[in-house]
Amino acid sequence: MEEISKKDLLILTGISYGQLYRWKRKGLIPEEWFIKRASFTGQETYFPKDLILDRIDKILELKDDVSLEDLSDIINNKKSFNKVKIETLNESNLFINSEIITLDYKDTYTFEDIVILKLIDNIYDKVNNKEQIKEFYNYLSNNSTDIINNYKLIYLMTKDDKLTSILVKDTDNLEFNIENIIKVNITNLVDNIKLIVMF
Amino acid sequence: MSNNNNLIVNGMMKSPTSLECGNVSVNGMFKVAGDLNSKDLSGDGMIKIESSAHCDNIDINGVLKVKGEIFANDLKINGVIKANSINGEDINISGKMSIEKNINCERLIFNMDANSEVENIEGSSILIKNKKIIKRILHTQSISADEIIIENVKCITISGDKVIIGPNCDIKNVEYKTSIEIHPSSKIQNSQKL
Repeated sequence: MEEISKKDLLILTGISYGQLYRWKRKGLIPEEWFIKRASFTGQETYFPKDLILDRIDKILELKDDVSLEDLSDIINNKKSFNKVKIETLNESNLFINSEIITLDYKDTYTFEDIVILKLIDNIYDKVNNKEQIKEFYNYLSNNSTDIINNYKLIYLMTKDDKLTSILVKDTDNLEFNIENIIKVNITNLVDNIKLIVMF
Repeated sequence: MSNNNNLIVNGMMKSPTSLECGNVSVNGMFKVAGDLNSKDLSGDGMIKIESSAHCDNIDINGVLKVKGEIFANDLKINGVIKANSINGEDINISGKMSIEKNINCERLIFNMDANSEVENIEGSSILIKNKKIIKRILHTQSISADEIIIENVKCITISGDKVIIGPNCDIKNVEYKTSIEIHPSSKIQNSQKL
């Protein structure tokens, strides 16, 4: 996984040391993301690049409306989730492709429903065969609890209009000798949905 | 989280289990064989916590020893503090500190009068001063904060926005965003503007 150094992170995001460490202290940035590596100058701190940039983005977006304690409770699963009505979901602008909801019309959607729909939304434009998308959606939907709780990554590839997926539990990254692999980070997606839909 | 039962210790008390209570006021010696979860923890004397301490505010004259982590809003120690790590908003220590891992805080003011150590300090504003004329040193691997004003610190890496390195410091690397001042008596190996 690509890493970014602390100093590059601060420059890139414009946040201060105080903010970075406050968010760590409040549980908004996991301690595991602070990776210490020996360097020529002594020790430098690195972060998983995609994860940290995404997380900081979300925090900056929400911090003026939500207290850090609330944000922390959400990320750390301490707040429960009320089902969302289809009207609210349609109004929310959560999905890039609004037709995603047609995959599964319901009165109310659970957190897991929304995660799976958003996952499909993220890959929707990249897969031409919409039939395959529907099949994939059904598969994810039927196994949503297991996938959301136990799996870390999904790799997708389309060949000859057929969609294949690999679900990964533990490993950080797989290397492929194929072009056009789509990678979905489930943990990241779940955290982001939590932050978005809680409000 | 803590309930409203206040605890006053006059003399010596040992709790054989973790304790959750309101305000704790100690005059003497207080030991908890477990975690302490309280509102305020204050007093004079010696306080020993076998596991972690989660308190709203801590204000102690004397010795505070916590085997695990300390979580508090305001932490004020006049004397000695020993812990695995400290997470707090405003930390004000006058005396000696011996911290295994990190201090993560908003503000730290440390008036040192004995050799001290902490693995890393991270926060927004860090002030470290040597109380007496006798040279005492704070040993630490790194200090990372927006404002850093230090003296008598031996450290590998300082990362800050505005950094003032006072007398008697021995620093391997300094990286600063905006400004730096270095006292002539201090040794800095590498200095880099970010």
